[in-house]
Parts: sequence; structure tokens; C-alpha cells
Amino acid sequence: MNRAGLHTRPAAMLVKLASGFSSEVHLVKDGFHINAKSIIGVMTLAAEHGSDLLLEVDGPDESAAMAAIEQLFSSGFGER
Amino acid sequence: MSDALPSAVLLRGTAASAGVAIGRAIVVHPVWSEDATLPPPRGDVNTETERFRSAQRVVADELEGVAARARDESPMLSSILDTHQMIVTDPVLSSDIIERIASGVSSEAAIVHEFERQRRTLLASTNSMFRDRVHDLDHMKHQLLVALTTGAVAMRRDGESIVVAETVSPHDMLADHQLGIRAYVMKFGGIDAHASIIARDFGIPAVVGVQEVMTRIHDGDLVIVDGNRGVVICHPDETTLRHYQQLLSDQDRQRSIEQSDLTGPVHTSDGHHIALEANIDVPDQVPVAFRLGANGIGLVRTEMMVASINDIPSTDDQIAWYRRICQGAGGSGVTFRVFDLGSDKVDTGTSYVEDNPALGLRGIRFLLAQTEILRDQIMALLHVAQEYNVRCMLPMISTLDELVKAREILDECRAEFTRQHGRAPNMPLGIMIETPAAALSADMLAEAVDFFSIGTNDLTQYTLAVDRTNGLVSDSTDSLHPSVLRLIAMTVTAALSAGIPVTVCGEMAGQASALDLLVGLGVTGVSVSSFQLHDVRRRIAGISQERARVLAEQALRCRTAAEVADRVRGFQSASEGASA
Repeated sequence: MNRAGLHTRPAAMLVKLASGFSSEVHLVKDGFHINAKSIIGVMTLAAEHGSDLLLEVDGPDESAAMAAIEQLFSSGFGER
Repeated sequence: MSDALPSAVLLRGTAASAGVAIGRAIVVHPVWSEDATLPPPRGDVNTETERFRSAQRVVADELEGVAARARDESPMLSSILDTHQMIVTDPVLSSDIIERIASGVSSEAAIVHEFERQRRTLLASTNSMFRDRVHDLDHMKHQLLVALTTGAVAMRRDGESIVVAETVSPHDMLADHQLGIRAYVMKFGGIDAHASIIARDFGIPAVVGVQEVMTRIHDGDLVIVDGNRGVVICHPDETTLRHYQQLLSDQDRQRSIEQSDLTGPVHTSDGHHIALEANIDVPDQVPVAFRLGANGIGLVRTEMMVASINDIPSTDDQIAWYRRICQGAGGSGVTFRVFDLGSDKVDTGTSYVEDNPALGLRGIRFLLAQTEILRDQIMALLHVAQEYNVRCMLPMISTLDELVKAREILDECRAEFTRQHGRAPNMPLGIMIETPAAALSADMLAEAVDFFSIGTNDLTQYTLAVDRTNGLVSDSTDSLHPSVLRLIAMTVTAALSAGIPVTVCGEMAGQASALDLLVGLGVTGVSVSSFQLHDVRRRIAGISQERARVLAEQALRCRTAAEVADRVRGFQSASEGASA
């Protein structure tokens, strides 16, 4: 997770990336499912630094989407 | 004057920003009022859905265009607009709205209802940074409703016109400034309103508090704004128009004369050089500061960047922002104060709960608790220091330990920068002196830095244990209190014996009466808001440092702030007598 939690800019990056895939992309936190293509949804997710998030991808390009989004998270959202 | 001419309309208000302007009015009416009744559907479900989709396209296209244009000039503004576009095209929100339309309501009703629902969810969110994003939601809801009503997007303004509005947001003023708006007439606001201060900073004439302005002036009307007298004339007659055209050309000539007089180095009447610099928040203020005679930028409040996007900006965004400021400053020095944030000002994902934020995790303490933020910022500053004269300043240092820790981080960053780029540029390091502890140990701190800048607002607050915004305990003469002056004197003495510059960047530097004292105490420079530069320059030129030193010595022996104020008044009338 980005060091300062999932903020506006990283949130926008995630939504942009997810929107580029035709698969459905959901983030799951504490049982809440959030559409990762929805900026408002991602903003209400309130993912603090160190939160546990589950990524669910379902669709024709699911493995590519999964890899790309994992890459975004592990790169710290291109911050470093 | 206008009474004899029925067509002319003369309106009076408060002169908020000096200067005269003539132009065509753009009246910014609130297109969609919050308490408007929601209309019934205009047609069947398909018609309403299409209305919504078309409004959505209009707004999204407009935002995309503006964001693209802003990309080079302001990457951060562009990223805000990007986010706005994502809100408007949000797939979940869109399908909720379309579902609601299918239940038989109008697009307007569906938009209001669904945005309101999202707004509540966001407000209930535990993430305070996103809670502030409700403003973005509200803004986008408004844009969609305006697009439904008018088929276009609000806020299309031509340059060279006069903006007439109830009030104007700082964000819009920034855009207006880039468009070259000539003047403002506002229904609300006083001389100290945010909009008035920004208008003065940008040098745009403004008259505020004009009660009838929204009903008496219409789009396209020829309007004269007299920001010197607080007068607005609509439909001026030939004579009045010629009179003001003459004033306008005089004003332009006067401004160029003033520029030659009011730029260049500043000296006291007995020839001591005092550095005159400007405090700024955003890159757009830099050209104005230099036009008004700044010799450099003495304080960039970089935390304003955080405030404007509600987030810590990326290193790239920071570099772009710092570079724009330095470009505006040419080769002159620019002092960047690293983020002066409190735990209450930014959501770092860690919940800090503080009973007393003023004595809590703020300034350098916050940065030492979040060293990644400090490291990124120093790396960004080093980048820009390769090309420009960049100085780095640490906020709210109170102990030598804090300075040593921050210096270690700076040294590590320099080493890292050298690894990446071959060498690290020279970048002087200074600190704010704004706590009594820092002033009391100024001699030790002075050994470890390249310059001091005294923040008199906080120094006064912490010395007297008085909240400056609390009218029950604060007084306008607080900063003249002998206890505060003694700490300033200690700081100046320590700086001068270490051979480093010591400037004042607090409000005190902009107060005519306090300037005499500061010059007398031996400060080597002052940094003030752009609109104060002229006055401060004139004032310094009239001070004899020799005599001011005597005044300062007397003031340090006074028992009360009132006694100091008396001394200063006596000094000033004596000075005026001497110069008359």
C-alpha cells in the first residue's frame, strides 16, 4: 500500500488502470465489495496504510488485469 | 456625476484592490440554486436517459479539454480536473442515476438524489482526506445540472472582461488570472476576504460588497471599475468614459514609472542594505512579486500545494511546481520552506489523535515522523537546485536534536542524489526561528545552518502562550512585547556573530511600526506579501539604522508592549519631523 494510504492520486491511478480492462475488477475490504473502476467507490473504501485488501478480477483479460494492478500496488503507485 | 445621465448606473462598494479597469461585464449567476424544486421528467425514460448522457458527455469533454491544456502549465490542476472527469463518468454512479431515471423521475432529480447518497457515504468514511472530496462531488453535481439546463458548461469566461459575481473562489481566480480578467465586482466580501487578498496579490482591481450588483449589471454591459475609490459605473457616458480612459493610461504610465523607482536593492537612509523578499503560495504570484519590487522569494509555503490537492504531491509534480516558481524568479534566490503540516492537516493513513495540535506533531516533528515525505521533497528541491538558486528551510525547529536529525536526512538525500546524477548541487539550509526554545539556543543552531528566518507569528504565540486567533487573550501589539523582542534580539545577535543572514517572514515584517524595530535590532532582510512590498520599501528607505538601533535598545528595556508601542510612535513622529 502507498505509504500515505490510498489517496486521491493513487486512487485515480487505480481507477484509470482498472478501467482499461474489460474484466470486472473489485476490491474487497472487511467484506465490502468496491468496483475498482469507480473513483467514488475507491474513495469511500478508506484504505489506510497497512490495510488488507483483496483483489477480485473476473473476465476475459483477468490475468493481465490482475498482474497490472498488483504491479501498481507493489510499485507503491510509482512514488519512488 | 451620473445623476444627470439616466442610462449610467453608479454603484458603491468597498475598494478591495487598487487600480482602474474598463471592460465588458461577465455576470456569473448561480445557474442552479440548491433549493430549486426538482422538475418532473421531460419525456419518457429513454428521453430522460439521453438527456443525462448528453449532459455527462458535455461536462466530461469540457473537463478533458481543460485538463489537457493545463497539463504543461499546472500538472496538479490537471490532475484535479482528471479526478473530476472520473467522478462525472463514474460507472457505478452513472448506472445508479440511470436506474433511478428508469423509476420515472427526471434527470435532475436522479442526479441530485444519487450524488446526495454518495455524498453521505463519503462523509461517513473514516478517511478524512476523502471526506473533503465532497466538494468535488458537489462541484460535479452542479456542473451536470448546469449542463442539463443550458446544454453547456458554466464558467466559460473570456479574458479582458470584468467578472461580476456574488463571490469568486480562489481556484477560479487562478484560472481568471491566466485568462487575463481585468477586474472583479463582487456582491459579498470585505477588504480582508480571501478573494480581496488574492486580487491584490495579482494586481487585479476589485470592488467588493456591492449589494445590488447582481441585479443592476448585465452580461455584456460596459463597466468601469474604480478600485481606488470603491466605485463601479455601468453604461458610462462619453465624458465619464474619456475621463477613465485617461486615468487608465495614466495608471499604466504610473506603473512603469513606479517600477523603475520601486525595484532594485533596498537601503536604509544611512545606506545599510536590507534584503526585500516576498512570501508566496503559488507559482502565479511570482511574476507579480518581482513586478512589485521583490529582490527574491523569501518564503514559499509549499504546504499550499498539499492543501490544493489534499494529498502529498508526487516528486514529479513537486519538481514541476518548484521549477515554475524558480523560472518566475529568474536567477534570484528562492527559499522553499518544506511542508509545514500538522497531523490535523493531512491524512497520512496513521491516526494521530492530539488534544493540542499547536504543541503537537507539526512542522519538522511531523516530517521527522514521516521521513519519506521529507526525503521526497528534498530530492525534488535538489533536482531544481541543479538549475536555480534554491534555498531549503525547515519549519518549527525547536531543538538542536531536530536539526541534527533533519540534517542527517538531507545528507543522505545528497548522497543518493550524487549516486543518481553524479553530483549534488549547492543548496543552502536554513531554519525558521519560531519557538522560544530555538531563539534561546540560536547561537548553537546558527553554527549548523546557513540562514535564519524568524516567524514572528508563531514566536509571539509560543512566547506569550497566547492564541493569536483568540480575541479573549490576544492583542494587536503582542508581537511588540519586550519578551518577544528580546528573543528576536538574541536570534539576530547569534546569526550576526555566526555570519549568517537573518530575516523576518512573519506579519511583523509588514507592519510599518514594527519595521523600525526590526531594522534597529539588526535583521538583514524581510519577506512580506507582495502587496506590502511598496510600503515596506518606502518605509525602510526612510529609516536611519543608527537611530533605529537606539530605539531598539530602548524597546528592549521597556516593561510592557504598550510602552514599546509608545516609544515606536515617538520615534516615528520624530522621523517624520526630521524628514519634513
